[in-house]
Amino acid sequence: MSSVTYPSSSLLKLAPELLENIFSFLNPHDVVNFGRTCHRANAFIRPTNQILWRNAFLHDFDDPQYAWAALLPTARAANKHKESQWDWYRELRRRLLMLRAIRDGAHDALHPPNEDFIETLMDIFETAVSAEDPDRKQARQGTSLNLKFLDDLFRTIPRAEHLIHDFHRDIESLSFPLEGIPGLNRPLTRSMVPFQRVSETASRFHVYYGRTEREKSSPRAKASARAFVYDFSVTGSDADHGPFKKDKSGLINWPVLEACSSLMIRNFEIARGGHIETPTGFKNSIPHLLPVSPLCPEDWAGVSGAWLGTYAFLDYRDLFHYNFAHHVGHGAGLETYEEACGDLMQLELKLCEDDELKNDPRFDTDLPVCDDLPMLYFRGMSSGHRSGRPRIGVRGAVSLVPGGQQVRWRFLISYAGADQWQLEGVQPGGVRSGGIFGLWTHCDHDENGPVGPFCYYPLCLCSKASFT
Amino acid sequence: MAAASTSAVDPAKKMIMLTTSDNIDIKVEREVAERSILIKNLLEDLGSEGDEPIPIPNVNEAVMKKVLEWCEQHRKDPPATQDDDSDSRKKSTDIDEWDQKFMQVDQEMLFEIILAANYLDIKALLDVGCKTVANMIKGKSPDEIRKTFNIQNDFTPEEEDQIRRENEWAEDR
Repeated sequence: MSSVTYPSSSLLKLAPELLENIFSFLNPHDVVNFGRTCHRANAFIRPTNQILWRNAFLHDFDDPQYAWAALLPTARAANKHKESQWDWYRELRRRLLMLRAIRDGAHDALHPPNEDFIETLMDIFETAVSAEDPDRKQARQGTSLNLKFLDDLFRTIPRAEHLIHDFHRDIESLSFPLEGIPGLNRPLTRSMVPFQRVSETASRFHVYYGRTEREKSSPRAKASARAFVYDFSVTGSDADHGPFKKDKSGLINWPVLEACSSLMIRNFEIARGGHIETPTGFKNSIPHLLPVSPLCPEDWAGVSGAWLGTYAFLDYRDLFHYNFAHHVGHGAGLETYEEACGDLMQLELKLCEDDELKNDPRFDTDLPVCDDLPMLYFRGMSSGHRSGRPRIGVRGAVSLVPGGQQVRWRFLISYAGADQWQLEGVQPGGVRSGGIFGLWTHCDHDENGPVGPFCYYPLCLCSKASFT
Repeated sequence: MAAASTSAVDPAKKMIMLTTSDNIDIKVEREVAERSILIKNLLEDLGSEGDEPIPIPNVNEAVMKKVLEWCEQHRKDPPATQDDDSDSRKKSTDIDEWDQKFMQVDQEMLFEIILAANYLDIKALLDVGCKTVANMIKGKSPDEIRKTFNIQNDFTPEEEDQIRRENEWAEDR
């Protein structure tokens, strides 16, 4: 250790808590530069100084305690391990290393592999302070450091979007098959390559991220997302005909949900008028974005109110042809099929707890749900938004996906005296967040019946003036 | 300072006496002195008399006068709430103009003020002091920090290189 003696009133002689106070105003870069000055300073910034590194962490990121405290009991229990292992130095270092690597373009070489970065990005997203909790100062100020970090990252480093959906012809890219795909000499988007095994987290992150620039213009990306949602085998009775795994677990099939959201974000943009925004992206994908209505405190899901959405479909002959003539799983030809997008539809929903709904066999499911919050039932009307479509009846139920982090929605649409369509969707952002994405099918589920994607967003998130 | 006392009824204006570490008595209005939570608590514990001089054994006259100058300027500030304690937000190093000027002192005095504010439990002054030091570190290279605070580099070149590499992850964006 140092043999230098410093006068009693000098920086290095300050008590640790005073040094910690000083460094609570400084960013990690300043902390390490101080640590590089001498042995004594270096001992002060050691990784085990959790008070120092907590402050440095909080300089750049939200305190994860808030997001954890907002988790429902089942999700909180599953998170306990992470909480007990939490190390401020390690987490800060991991996040900043990722930022450096992305900024330097190191992920192009897949060292370390993309999936690590995605896990880290997902962690940052999932520990963002959520929007409307009155106890949270940051939220009131509308300044989640995590969301700002993510926004800055993707805004200032355009190639960071590659992380969301690129494969490379790199020999180390395990998930990418080089055979059978002709003439590729540039990266492919994730959604350009249907039916490839990618990490579930990557699909999830894409759903929260929203539309990428390349998706906006790429017909192939659209075709491959269609290859998912228009495949008869992608869902079925074991998945309640929704974007769930076909193993009766009730868990979300994230690649399918990714395809639904990828397509429907673009379709919604076609269907919506200029007065409407598409509320996507991180800030619209966090739990408790919308407040609980004081008039209806039991409405934990924020059912009551207006929702805007639309649906898409293939001409049945095309759908049939795709499924039987082209069933090779790479979406070949789907860019040429004409996909039609429905009108912009508006739902007016209201909670409804009558026994007729509760005992309605249409709401039966073999899939497990998380019972941290009770299943809610609702009724309402569906009509064209600012168009003359006749009003038709809707009823539905909402529950929690196992794990308690996402919300599951079922809508039944009836007209001509009969139930017609079943919309089976997931709200990936969680309780009272933004959009719902999923699949529609005919209520009776005849073999090889029509299927397609749909979306609904809370109307209050769609108007341009609000929530910017 | 002593002549300012005109009202015997207003307890805030009542004069109290502090004895510094170098045995100097300083007269000060109670309201001003009570910016220090330590003094406030002592006065409460001693009862409302406050006629006895209060010994402040850790602070000398020069520093005490400087601290009281700050307390005088900030005598009407609202008391710090528990809420302001919240450290789960990005802290700003902004300092208001008067405080900036106040803190234009030599480094020894700066650290003495920090030590005194810590001892006397004057959170707002402690924060101003810590922010001032933080601003002297902010954005500087290790070498510039050494120069600013007269820190001697006791690393071997090998150690220095190793520590630089260990800390590369935090290099500026």
